[in-house]
Amino acid sequence: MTLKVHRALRLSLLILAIAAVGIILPHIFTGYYLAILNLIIIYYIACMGLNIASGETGLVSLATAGLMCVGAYTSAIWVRLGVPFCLALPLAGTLGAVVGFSLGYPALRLGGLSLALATIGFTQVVQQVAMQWTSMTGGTIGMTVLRPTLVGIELNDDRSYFYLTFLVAVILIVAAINLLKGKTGRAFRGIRGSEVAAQLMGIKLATYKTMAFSVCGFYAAIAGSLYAHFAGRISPEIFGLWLSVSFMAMIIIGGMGSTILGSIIGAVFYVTLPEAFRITREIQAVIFGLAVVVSLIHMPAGIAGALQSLMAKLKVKVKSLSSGKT
Amino acid sequence: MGLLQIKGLSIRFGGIAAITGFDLECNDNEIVGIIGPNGAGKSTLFNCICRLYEPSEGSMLFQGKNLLKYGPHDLARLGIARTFQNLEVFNKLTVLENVLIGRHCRFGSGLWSEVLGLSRVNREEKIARQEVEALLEVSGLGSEKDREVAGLPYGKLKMVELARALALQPRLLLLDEPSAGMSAEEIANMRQVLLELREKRGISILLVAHHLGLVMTTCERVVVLNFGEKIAEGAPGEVARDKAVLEAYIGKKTYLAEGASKAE
Repeated sequence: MTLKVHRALRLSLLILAIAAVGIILPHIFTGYYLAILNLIIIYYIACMGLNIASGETGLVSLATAGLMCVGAYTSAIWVRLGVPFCLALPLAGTLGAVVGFSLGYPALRLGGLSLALATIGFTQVVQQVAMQWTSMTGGTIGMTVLRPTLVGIELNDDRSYFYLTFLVAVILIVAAINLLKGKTGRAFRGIRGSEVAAQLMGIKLATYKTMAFSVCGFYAAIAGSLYAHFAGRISPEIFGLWLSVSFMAMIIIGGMGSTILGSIIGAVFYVTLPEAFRITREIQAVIFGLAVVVSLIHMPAGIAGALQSLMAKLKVKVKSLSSGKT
Repeated sequence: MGLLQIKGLSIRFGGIAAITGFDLECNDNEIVGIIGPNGAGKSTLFNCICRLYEPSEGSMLFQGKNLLKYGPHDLARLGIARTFQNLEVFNKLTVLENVLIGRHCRFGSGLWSEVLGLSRVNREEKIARQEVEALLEVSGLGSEKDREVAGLPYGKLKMVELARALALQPRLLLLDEPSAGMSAEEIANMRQVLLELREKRGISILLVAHHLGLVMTTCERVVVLNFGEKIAEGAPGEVARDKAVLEAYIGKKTYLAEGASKAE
């Protein structure tokens, strides 16, 4: 069997496996749990975007809620105006990318805390626009959002909606992996490591910082759109500072810089925490806050990092055991 | 025409003149040493050449091009690479990835080609990896290529920075204290590396070093800086005997006292 055929076979098997997972999952999880699963995937997408800007490139961002808000409202409004959802979704993402791009400019001048404050300002502004522009957004009352129709089928139930979110997530995961494994991903991580050295390697900060924020904006806006059509109802109060902080906390706990693995761990942690312990919202906030602090002190690479070092240690142990036996 | 021509370079930080009226010429295949006491302005000079600082006066030409028109990210493309006194390695990356970033400019594929995972991108990546792995072998870092730099000893990190600079395939290499913290054996090795770079790769080097032995045995010419001014220039032997240089290093009182005691 030639290498090319071998590769094609492996690729087809992988696609089949992923499709199988996508079809089986919403049959295992039903009802309430299926709704949670949908939410986890939506948050996962936003977390991937945030990890690309903050975890990989080192640009602190509390703009996620604002970017999601942009995606949510644009998608909701356009679908209501008759734009087909398969167009509205990528367009909302593109608008998120454009808005994210503009965030790249303060990122060039500001670092750390100042940048965080600028992104907070951004989220506040977007929230205010959503509140004040009542003719478009319905103001503080919010607006109802239609379930989308794809290929003639209305995605009425959670299961069919899951197929949508799963498919979008898979596409975005593949895109992220491709982006991060090559020259651009290295440029992002280089900027995080040392801006001075990165520049002297030919990495133009203006180009790559705006790119990182654009990608972040794209992902967040897609997540916002998927959220809006899932929840059926959006209002400005959802997209506030607390949501941005929550996403930052998710990637810290999951593992900053672990865009594929850490993001899903963080999203699962955040969504399932209140469910797992049947606790009040206040206690949830306390536990979550403690988790972030513990993570920062004891697990700087997050749960993903802890898992990876555990795997590495296991590998070494297995190696020594097997070589010891022979 | 020389490779690098600096004329009348001056830079001030607030009220302090870090460099004043500095001239330097570096030709092809030359190793020029830049020495001077701490705080003399050597790293500042490098930062000016690398466009990290904006000089107040003076001109800098590289291969006839006016460096003042370019930004720090243009240097890689122009053919200037630099290592740092205090190490600026990419901490969370492996040795291989650190040096691979040095090949950044050689990748032609754009953002969309990457996202779509086109085979062209994979090909470029493969070629770059092979080139970098060969470079790492030559630099003695082959066995550490997949290790995260954060855990490596200082001497190894210096080599990583050098390998990373070489991955840019520069015409001019600015080495800022490459021998700091190295053992005698490592310094002897460094000497060999520098001479080979000049002979085999035709790279010119500006070498800032405190290890005078290394400077004397590798450089054709030595420039001495003190308080931001050039106080001597010439062959290593001449400079070592220069009055002004000795004063700068061991202090006027000590120099005069020793001179007086010798005269007696």
